[in-house]
Formats: sequence, structure tokens, C-alpha cells
Amino acid sequence: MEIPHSIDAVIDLMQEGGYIAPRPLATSLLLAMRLKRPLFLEGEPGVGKTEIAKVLARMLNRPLIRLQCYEGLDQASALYEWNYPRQMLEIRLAEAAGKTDKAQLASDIFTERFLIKRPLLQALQSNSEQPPILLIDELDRADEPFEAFLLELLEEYQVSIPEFGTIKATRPPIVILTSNRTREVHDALKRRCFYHWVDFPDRVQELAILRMKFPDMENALLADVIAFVQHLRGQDLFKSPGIAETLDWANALLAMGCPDLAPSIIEDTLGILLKYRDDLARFRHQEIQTLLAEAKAGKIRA
Amino acid sequence: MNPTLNERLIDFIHLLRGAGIKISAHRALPIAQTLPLISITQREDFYWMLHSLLVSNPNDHLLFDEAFHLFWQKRNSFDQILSLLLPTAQIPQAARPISPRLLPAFSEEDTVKKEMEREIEIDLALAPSAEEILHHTDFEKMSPQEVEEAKRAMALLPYAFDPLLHRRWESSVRRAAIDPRASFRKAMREAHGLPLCFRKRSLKHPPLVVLCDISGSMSRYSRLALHFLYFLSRHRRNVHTFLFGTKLSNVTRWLRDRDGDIAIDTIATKVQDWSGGTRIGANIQEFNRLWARRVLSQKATLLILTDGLERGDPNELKRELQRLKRSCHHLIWLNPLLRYGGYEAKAQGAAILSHYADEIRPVHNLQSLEQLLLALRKEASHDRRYSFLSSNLAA
Repeated sequence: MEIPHSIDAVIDLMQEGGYIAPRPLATSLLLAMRLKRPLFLEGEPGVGKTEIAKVLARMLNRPLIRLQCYEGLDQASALYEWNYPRQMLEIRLAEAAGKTDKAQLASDIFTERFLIKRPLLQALQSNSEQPPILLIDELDRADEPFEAFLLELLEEYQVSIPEFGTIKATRPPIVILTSNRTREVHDALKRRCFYHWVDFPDRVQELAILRMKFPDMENALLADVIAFVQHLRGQDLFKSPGIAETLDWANALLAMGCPDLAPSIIEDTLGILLKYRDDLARFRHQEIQTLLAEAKAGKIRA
Repeated sequence: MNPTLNERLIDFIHLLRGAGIKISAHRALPIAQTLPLISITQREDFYWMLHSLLVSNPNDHLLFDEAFHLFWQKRNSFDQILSLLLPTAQIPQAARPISPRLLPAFSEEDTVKKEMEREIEIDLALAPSAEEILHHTDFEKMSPQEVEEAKRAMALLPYAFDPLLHRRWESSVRRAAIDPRASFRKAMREAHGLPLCFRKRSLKHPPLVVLCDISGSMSRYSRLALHFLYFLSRHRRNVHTFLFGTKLSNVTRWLRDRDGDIAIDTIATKVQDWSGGTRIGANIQEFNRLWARRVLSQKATLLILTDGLERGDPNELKRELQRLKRSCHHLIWLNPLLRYGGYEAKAQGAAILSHYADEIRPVHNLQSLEQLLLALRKEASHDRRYSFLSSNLAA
């Protein structure tokens, strides 16, 4: 499917895929796709950064190639690696068969047969009809040498393999980078990208998201859930619950068959929203009751 | 692209740069290509288009927001643009007060850089005993001349730090683990046999985070402490420095300036709460909330330089120290009050700190700083021994 031409088209496309994209995010997405520059999404964990890439891939009908970053990630795991055991076997077989042409063997060993393509190379050399979507997830977990290596890739969409030559992408993939901001990603990388900070959704957005995901949920319960989570985010927590946590919680409440939100139910299921013991310890029965009452007092109509 | 719009955009970028948002020339290049994609009459779309191009740090968002609303309304430039494109113009928004950070960027004259004049006294007849005396002199009791000498002596302290083993591999000359790829590539170049290349785990400095109290009770030590931190930042990577008095400030970047005095003067002007009151607990809470997860990654050592005289709530201090202790590997309390031989941690804040800190060290003269550096080095090498063993088993 073709890349959309306007911001409204992007919003509609994402909505069809089940993701409510606010207008600023849709603007950045459109610019990144149209101008073939990477998009750098930063935000707290659980706000839906990875989901954007997944929905985009599904709706544009393109393969999603995902590279999960971690500390110590290097070229061998991210770009390519030679299949050494197989190469050694090939050499032994050639020896056993009596072939002595070393030059021929050397050129045979370093061919595509023995090349293990990791995600970045897969994205550059994709055979699909449309260029794929490359998701580089949690870039802040990787270290600075990896960032330096990514710089050239994102600028030119080409890599050089010494034994092979230079591989340039004929059709550059759509690149989306995400970060949880546990460390500052280097400016040199950020300046090559369009930047967007994905924030927690506001009431209206969250309501729309929950309505879309849980059409069977009763309006009263929906309103209470949203009001409570929004109010909870306003408390000075170590880690505020993201939209992923809200969805999990709503799912749990539906599964438990609760008709409405009572403090006892919240107490039992608070672990779905809050993942740090310090935060959980703050909200005992009394605090939960107060919080729920305050939330209900200020809630919007479902 | 419309030349007037072009000029306006360049002016806008200069305004943002003047206000402190770093924008390289490369960044702004695609603006011309982005304009046809959005509808320029939609102010919101224009805003977010510029935002996604020019802003790459969430801290800059508020500044950009204010600058945008002021710039595209102040000289009625936005309306001019619209009047060029459309027959009818939009109504501009109501004027807002300008934030002080934007004011200098709006003014026409350039800021003149201050020149530093320093007197350098060279005393060639510094006898060994005089040096020894300097090393043991309390910072509080130093004359201005001795302070200058102490700064010079600080530069010569033993700052060598041993790094820790890391997950990455790098090539090695001595026989460690075999590197298959490098071995193969070398074999391609050579005619006979399979030469072996080796690789070893690379070494990295674990993070060192310093929280330095700059309130009234610590003011005599603050300047010299900053000099020490400056040298520390120069000799070791991965040092993060925070100052706190009434509020917390991250001064890591400023300490990386080439010149120590310029660095310290920049900090002196930018950090506003010198010699104020101390709220240790509240500041540690802010550190825990905003910075701890970002700077205290693996095996971080945390130095907290304070006298422990807490004005805030001791329960808050206790809670926050508990969390801090869990986030870092080693917590060292540097207490200048230890210069008194019979010091006991009786004040509430001090008692709590002494309970949670792994180590309490003095920091009142050069000798104590030297011992601190040696202790940091020894601790690092102790860890290295153990992590080498575990990586040996894994490799």
C-alpha cells in the first residue's frame, strides 16, 4: 500500500489499525515517511511507541523487521555474521575431496550462502514488493559505539562488508527508532531523525482508545477506569502507568466480570497498574478510596 | 519557497539557537521539502512540523512553544505570510509575557564574552615540608594563596582509575579468546595455515555520580570541591555531577569545559541557590525520580558530599536514601565534619546518612581526597577480579 499523502490520511490509517494517533504524532509520521528520514520516538515505557511501528507495518502491508537493542549489541548481532562452522566444514570437505585451488575456495567461502543476515542487513536487502519498516527498539539500551555505527547506516542506507563489497539499499526502509530515555541518545544520531516525544494520553484520547479496544465495556465502568488512571498519573509516582497498563487493567476487570469499580477491586488489581513496590506501598485501602472518590468527582462523561 | 518565509524561518531558527536549543544547519534543510506536505494555513500543523524537525529533547519543548507563539505573532509575520498566500488573514493571538530566557535572544546586541585574568604565582622554592603541610591543611583554614596552591596540587592527585570488564569484544594481542572472524580474514591474506587472532572483553568505567551539597553550611568547601570534581571529570569518563541546595542542578556538561576556572565560573552564574538552606531529602527525591534511572546504570558508585545537617523531614530523607541505596552499587558519604576528631553523627540527617551509607569518609584536606581516590580505585579493581572470574566461566 502506498504511503499516505496527508496528516488526516495518516490518522485514518492508524485508526483503522487500532491506534489512535494524535495530530502531532501523525505529522511527524507523515514527514518521516514522505521525506525518507528516520523517526525517533522517545517516551516513558508503556506509552505505545513500539505499537506505532507494528500498526504501521500491518496497515501499509509491509514486513516489519525488528532489532531489539541491548547493552553490548554489536555489528555481528545487528548487521551480519559469517557462518563460521559451515565455512570450516566446507574447507574440510574440499580438503577431503582433494580440491586444491585455494583462490577458488576462498572466493567460495565468502558468498551469500555463508552469510547470516541479521535485522539491519535484512532491512537493506529486503526482497518484498515494498520497502520494509525497520524498528530499532529501545536504542537507549545499546551503547555509544553502536550508535556511532548506526549513524552511517541511517545517513546513507548502506553498509560495507569487507569480504563482499558495499551493499546499498535500493529502496530505503522506513526506520523508526524508539527510546525509553534511560540515557541521552547522542545528538549526532538525533539530528538525522525527525523527533517526537510520545506522551501519556489525555482523557479524551484514552477514552477513545479504550472504547475502540473494548466496545463491550459499560460506559460507567469505562468512565471510572479512565478517571482513576488519569488521576493516578497526577500523583507523584516513581513510574506512572502507561496506556499498555491501562489496557491490561481494563482487560482484567472485564475478565473478572466487575460491574463497577470498587476500592476492594482496585486494591486487588493495583499491581497491574503500578510495578514498583514503593508506589504500591503508598496506596492502601484508605488512599485508594480517597483517590477513587476524587477521580469520580472530576470525571468526564463516557 | 517563498523568500519572505525563508527569511522568517531562518530568523526563527536563530532565535531558538539564541535561547539555547541546539540546532545544526543540517537539521533545518528538509524544511523546504516539508512545506508542500502540510497545509500551512493550519497553524497547528506548521507548529508540529517545525517541532519534529527542530526539537530533539523534551526539555526544549516549553521553550520552543513560547518562542513559536511569540515569533510568529510578534512581528505579525505569520499574518504577512498568510496575506501573501491567501486573501484573508488570521487573527493573531493575545500577547504573552516573554520568558527571561528568550529576552537576550530577541535583543540586537551580541553578548560579550568575559575575559579571565589570573595571577599565576610561581614559587620555585617550595620545600617538601611545605607541600606536606599543604596536604594536611584543612580547606577551611586556608589563606587565598594556599587555596590557589591547593588547586594546583589537586591537579596532581592520583586520578588513575581501573575500568571494569564489559560485554563487548575488542581485538587483543595476547592469547585470550579466539576471534573467528579476524582469524579467517587474516587467513585470506596469508598463504599457509590458519593464523589465530584473539579478542578480549573490553574495559569500561562504571558510572560515578556525585551529589554535592552547596548550601550555606557547606559554602567554604563548595568551591574547592568543585575544582576537585572538575579534575575528576577530566580524568575519568562516565562521571555525572549534581549540585543541590534548595534545588537539584545537573552540572556535568559545564564541568567538561577545557578550562577549570571557566567551568567553575559558568556554574557559579548558572546555579542560583548557593548558600541557601539544605533540604537533602527533597533533593534526593528529585534525583531518584528524574535522574537515578538514567545515570545509575550498572555498578555505579555514588558519592554524596554533605555535612548531614538536614532542614527537611527526616522520614523523607530515610525513604529516599533507601531507594537511592537500592539503585546504586556503592554509596559513599563524604563528610567534611569528620575533621573534628570526636565527631559523632548526632544530628538526625547525619544519623540517617551514616546508617545507609556503605562508607563514610572525610573530605576536609588534600590528603583525604587522595585517600578517597585510592579507595575508589581499589574498589574498582576488587570488582574486576570477580567479574573476570565469572566471564571466564561464561566464555
